[in-house]
Amino acid sequence: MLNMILWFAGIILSVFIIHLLISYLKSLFPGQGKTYILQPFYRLMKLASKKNAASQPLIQWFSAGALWFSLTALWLTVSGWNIVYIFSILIIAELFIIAGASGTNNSFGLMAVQRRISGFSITCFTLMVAASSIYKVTGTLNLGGILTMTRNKLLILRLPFTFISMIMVILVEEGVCWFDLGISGKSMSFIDTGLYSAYNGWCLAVIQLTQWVKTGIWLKFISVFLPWPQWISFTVSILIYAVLMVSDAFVAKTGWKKAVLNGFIWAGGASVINYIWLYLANI
Amino acid sequence: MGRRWTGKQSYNFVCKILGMKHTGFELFLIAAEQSEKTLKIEYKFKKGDQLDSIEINVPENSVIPSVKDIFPGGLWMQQEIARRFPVSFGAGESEDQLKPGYSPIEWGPFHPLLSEPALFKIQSKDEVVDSISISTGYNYRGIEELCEGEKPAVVLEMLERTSLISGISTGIAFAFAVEKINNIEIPEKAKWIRLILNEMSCFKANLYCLNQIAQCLGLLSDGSEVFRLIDLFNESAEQICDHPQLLGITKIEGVSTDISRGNIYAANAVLQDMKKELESLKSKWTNTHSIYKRLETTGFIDSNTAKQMSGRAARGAGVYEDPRKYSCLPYQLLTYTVPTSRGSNCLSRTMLLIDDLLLSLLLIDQGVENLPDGNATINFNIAGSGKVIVREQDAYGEIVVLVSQENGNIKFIKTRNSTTLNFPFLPDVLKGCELTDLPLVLTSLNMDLSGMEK
Amino acid sequence: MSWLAKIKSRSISVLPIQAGGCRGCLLQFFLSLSLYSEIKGITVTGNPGQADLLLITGCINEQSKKAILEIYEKIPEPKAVISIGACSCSGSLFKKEGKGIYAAEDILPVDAWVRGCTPNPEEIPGTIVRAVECAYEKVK
Repeated sequence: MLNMILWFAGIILSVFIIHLLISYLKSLFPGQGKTYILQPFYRLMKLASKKNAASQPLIQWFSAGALWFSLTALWLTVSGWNIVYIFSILIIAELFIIAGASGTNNSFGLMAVQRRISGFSITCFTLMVAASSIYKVTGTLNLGGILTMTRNKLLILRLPFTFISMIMVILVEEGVCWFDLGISGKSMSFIDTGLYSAYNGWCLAVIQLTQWVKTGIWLKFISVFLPWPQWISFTVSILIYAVLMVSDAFVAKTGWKKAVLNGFIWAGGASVINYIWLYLANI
Repeated sequence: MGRRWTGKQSYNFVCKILGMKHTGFELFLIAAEQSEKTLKIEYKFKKGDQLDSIEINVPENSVIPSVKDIFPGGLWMQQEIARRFPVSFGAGESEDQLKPGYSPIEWGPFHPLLSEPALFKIQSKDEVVDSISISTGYNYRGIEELCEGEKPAVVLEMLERTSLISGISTGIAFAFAVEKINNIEIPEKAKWIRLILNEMSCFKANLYCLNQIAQCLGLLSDGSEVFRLIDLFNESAEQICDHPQLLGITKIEGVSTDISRGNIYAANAVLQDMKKELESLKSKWTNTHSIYKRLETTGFIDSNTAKQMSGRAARGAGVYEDPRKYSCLPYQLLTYTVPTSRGSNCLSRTMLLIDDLLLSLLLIDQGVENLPDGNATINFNIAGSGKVIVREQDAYGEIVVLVSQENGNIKFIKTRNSTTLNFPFLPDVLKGCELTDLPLVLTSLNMDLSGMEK
Repeated sequence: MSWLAKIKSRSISVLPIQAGGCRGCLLQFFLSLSLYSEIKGITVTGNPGQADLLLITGCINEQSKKAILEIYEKIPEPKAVISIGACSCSGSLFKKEGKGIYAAEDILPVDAWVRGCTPNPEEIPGTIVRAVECAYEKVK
């Protein structure tokens, strides 16, 4: 139990710390806004102390619900539950965010909803195919069970493309590099802050926390593929994540429809290739 | 209820306008003046350096035929007159192009990617603009009205603050107009200093535009590099006249301070150093596939529309236009070629923008070389009366200033920039554009709304 | 100044408003963020719901007054307003009796001013931070 609590707190804290580093590193590039090392923390504190100016009261419930379900999903992740079950809870969290964004009259939020659903369909498809591949290799979908077999069965060698597809899923979820669907509002764009346009004040702070928790879950999923002890694998996955996030500053952006296509080709494609390969090679 | 012209009057008027069109003239200014219950409306036409005009006198509350269908660029000028004077133009008011049935997305009037306030109501299909309606009026300060009855020096101060893009050029054109009315021949040195100032102001305005394009492309480091150039420019400008925007130096009768040759040389040296950086930026944007592709595939204007437009929107489609030829400044003594390009898209206009920056640097350099010695100001009594029209180059195209003076005071003034002519085409040009490309296309079209609305 | 107010004012989202004007002041603001400031944590937003500070430049006419007031209402408390440049601070040459031109303080409670035509970019970031700090202090 203590181990689970430590993992739960550790994942949230490590994602928070890595975001501090990423935002600071990015701010050092020319043209980027100057930030303090603790900038994400300052922003969170500020947002938490602000009133929610939205006229629609349901948005508060949607943001709180999204955080609650994402925390539940994280707890189930550290408890080693079935990945499909964890993912279905993550879907609920996501649906809460989408419902909040589409419930207001914010037209940019509404535009971003379409993009988010497109992005999320990539994630769903990739994860379902990945789950089938994992089951084919390990005979289980429980994270705990998969973890025990990781080293014996060297998952990374049997599921290399699935591993790549999971990294792509993170890029799609974060909306970075070639998969910028304009959903996370990192840079100034026509659609303001994308899906989060409708949120403000403490509700936005809650959504920001939800985003970090979700990132933590994805990183834990990725670490499952790595053959080292859990904490080393998790640290490696965090470093991979940091490199990808920083590299976003060097990648030219494409239109969101192209980004969706990229997402399906790279994430979905890699996942499907591994699945076919497993059957053809009869592993 | 407006009193419509008789059929015969309307017919005669439209025939005259059509006659102008068929003889190759283009409408370039509509001005109105009210005396008691009558309104005098002047339609000014140009064909190269040749000017012609049609004048009509109409009673208050008349409804006169719109020239929109013959000269679409005249729509905004008609609207300006209709808003200020008791007259209306049949079917000339802006028509809401939005389709009934589905609610539009609103963008503006204030947004960081919109450099000037305007409200865009957009109906889109699959995130592509289907129809668009643009509401203006957020920039209106009533400058033309405020100028009436004022001393030329006060008017000059106001006009310089009209817009960052065209303010200095408008001020210079106004100064020349007043000088012409009062038969003042300013010293040669003042003319050359004004030429340098005009090109410097064009240079700064175009740098600002380049920065906005970089921001719209998401090229933050290039945007910051252009900001650094603007900062260097500001330092050079402060060396010349203690003001980063070059305000306060133009004066009726010359220029306000006798700028030392050393300061001008120093400022020019800083500016000429920027040439390398601009050229490397141009080559970077041309050689980077993703940037090239994005610029090339956005903001296309068909050749018929582009021909009717002005400034870079027209030159980007291969139409040759050189307002410097008709300027009062000594451009005719300089050697230069006005760049044009083909493609009529964001790429052609952006590359033209960089070429224009380089052209300004060339002209500043030649201006500094030709700068004569002597006084830069003379004293003269400004008490004359008359009416004069002056055309001048500004950063985005041509600026036209019509000044009427009576006993030393400004009786009325009318200005128009290239945006005035281009604005009526905007809804059609933006149709079919991806929503996310809207800021980029708008920036590449060089809209100077503050100079247009005044 | 409490430590909490200081922490919160290290992340400021500015909503810049370019009302009727030449754009020179807005350019100075962006220049100040890009080049001059040692102060960090100031970002620009176009979303009133996520803004902390309304930065007004240019002369305000009847039409922009209405739009600005709507935007101000949408900014969640605590919020601050600053006025940049002569046009916004006093109406400059354009404010005359009965012409329907307003300075920022005629329509909104302004917390700080950066005067001048054109305003000094070095003064802008510091003024933004002080205005936001004051807004947090007022709430306390």
